[in-house]
Amino acid sequence: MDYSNEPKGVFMVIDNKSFYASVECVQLGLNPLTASLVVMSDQDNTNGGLILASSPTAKKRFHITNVTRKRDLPWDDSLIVVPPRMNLYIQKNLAINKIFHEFADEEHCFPYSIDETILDLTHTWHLFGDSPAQVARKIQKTVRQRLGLYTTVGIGDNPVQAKLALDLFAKHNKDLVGQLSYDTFAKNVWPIEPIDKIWSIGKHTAENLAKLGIHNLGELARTDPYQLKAHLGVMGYQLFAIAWGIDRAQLDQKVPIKDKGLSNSQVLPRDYKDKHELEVVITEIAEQVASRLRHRNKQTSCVHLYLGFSYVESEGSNRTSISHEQKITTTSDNRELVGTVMDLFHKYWHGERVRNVGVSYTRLSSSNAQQLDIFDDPEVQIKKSKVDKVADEIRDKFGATAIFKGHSLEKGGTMLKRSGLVGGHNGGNAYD
Amino acid sequence: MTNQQTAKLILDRAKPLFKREYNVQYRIKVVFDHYDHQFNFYMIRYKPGHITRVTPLHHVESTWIADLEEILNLIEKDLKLTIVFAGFEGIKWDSRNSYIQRPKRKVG
Repeated sequence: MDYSNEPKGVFMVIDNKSFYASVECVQLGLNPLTASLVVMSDQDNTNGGLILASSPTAKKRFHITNVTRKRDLPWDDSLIVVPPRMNLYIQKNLAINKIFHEFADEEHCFPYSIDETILDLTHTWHLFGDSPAQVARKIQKTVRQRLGLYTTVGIGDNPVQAKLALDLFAKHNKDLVGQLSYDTFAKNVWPIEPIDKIWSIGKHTAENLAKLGIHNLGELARTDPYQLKAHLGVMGYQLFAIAWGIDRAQLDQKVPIKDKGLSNSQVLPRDYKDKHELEVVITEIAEQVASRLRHRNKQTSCVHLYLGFSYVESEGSNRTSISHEQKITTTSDNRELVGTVMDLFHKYWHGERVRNVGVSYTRLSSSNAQQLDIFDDPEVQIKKSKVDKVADEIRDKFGATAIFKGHSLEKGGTMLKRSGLVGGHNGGNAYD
Repeated sequence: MTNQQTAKLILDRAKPLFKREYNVQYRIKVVFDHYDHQFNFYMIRYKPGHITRVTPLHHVESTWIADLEEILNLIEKDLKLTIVFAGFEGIKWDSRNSYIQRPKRKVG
């Protein structure tokens, strides 16, 4: 394979080892690598408790994986359980990225998730060491010294190689550094099985590839790309490129977003089958998204409702969820939006037990102007929009629960309980 | 926040967790967090044969042992639980000449 025309640089993907658990270990004065600790969310909708993170030792000793449930935890007093503090983890993530900025400027530092960052060190690595691996060690040491956290680093000639080096090798190497390049890619990555270990290949794609007789990247690399395209669509080309370790992404070029939307969704604490309860919780979500919409000075012209059915309901039936949208005249008015969502709900819901609810508004446009309805009194319409605005302002100033609808106090409402959560888990402010 | 207010806040959070269950040991843990330059307070619920629950109570942005001593004295007046320490190796109390935690033994 001739790689001479492919982009080549020095990229690192840096991951925090068991991030949430490590942060908690450091705060507790324990070593993140040797302590047995899990972070468990106790929210109503987690079925008694959901493991968000576990320290490496807890994983090894008790075979705990993330999203293990409380009921599967071992009965052992050497295992420490702490509640999540999402805001603390966000703070630590910012602190870590600040350290990374000492090695690569902000233009070349791309946070990928709460605990992973991609660094483009092509132009700066030689300032900090004789080899990329040495620079990786230096970054690891700096983070360890200042924050007490361990990081794993994948190094590659392009972002996808760095990511694969991280996932496949760095996590298992003693020095927590893994390296791939165009020269070593085929030798090291092609034989790896099962194929769903590879980033971007999930169970579903692996099954599709197995149907084509492909069980590892080597076989994928030797398959005709046109055949892949025919079976897997555009993803076929992408997978083919990954199989050869090729990534032409320009990280510093922003991807234009075609149709941005706003959405909120949640897993309910139990199955909801009462119509009124569902109405309450859907209204809450619809209002919450509407408020975010107004915050961004946007209006929507398309409303989408998603209801996921409970396990009981979807067993033996091919309908596991309903998902419908409706176009409307451009608006950000609470009543109109909630009304449309309710219409969708009444039209398509036929008494199934519901466990997931999601509302999204798409086709956004800037809302400098209000579209008045010719058949309604204009003054009333303007007044209504002012009411929404004032309510939003009160919430901004005094918190999300400073003013809320009476129905949130009814059975089924989840807004009040969820208002302090970050990403669906405890923000941890109550412990500060 | 004064030391009195801090102690009250910690007590307000710790008391509901101290449920006096049968066969359960409750402890307060104080950690000298050298990375964030603060003291972290936790409540530990230890029951042999069960998972150990640790609940954060508060953190104090100070590294003054005198502050810590005052806060702990106030807490101990109201809640007589064993207090365990971490991160204080080789550090002495301000008021008396004794170690909070003995210095780490040097290996070799």
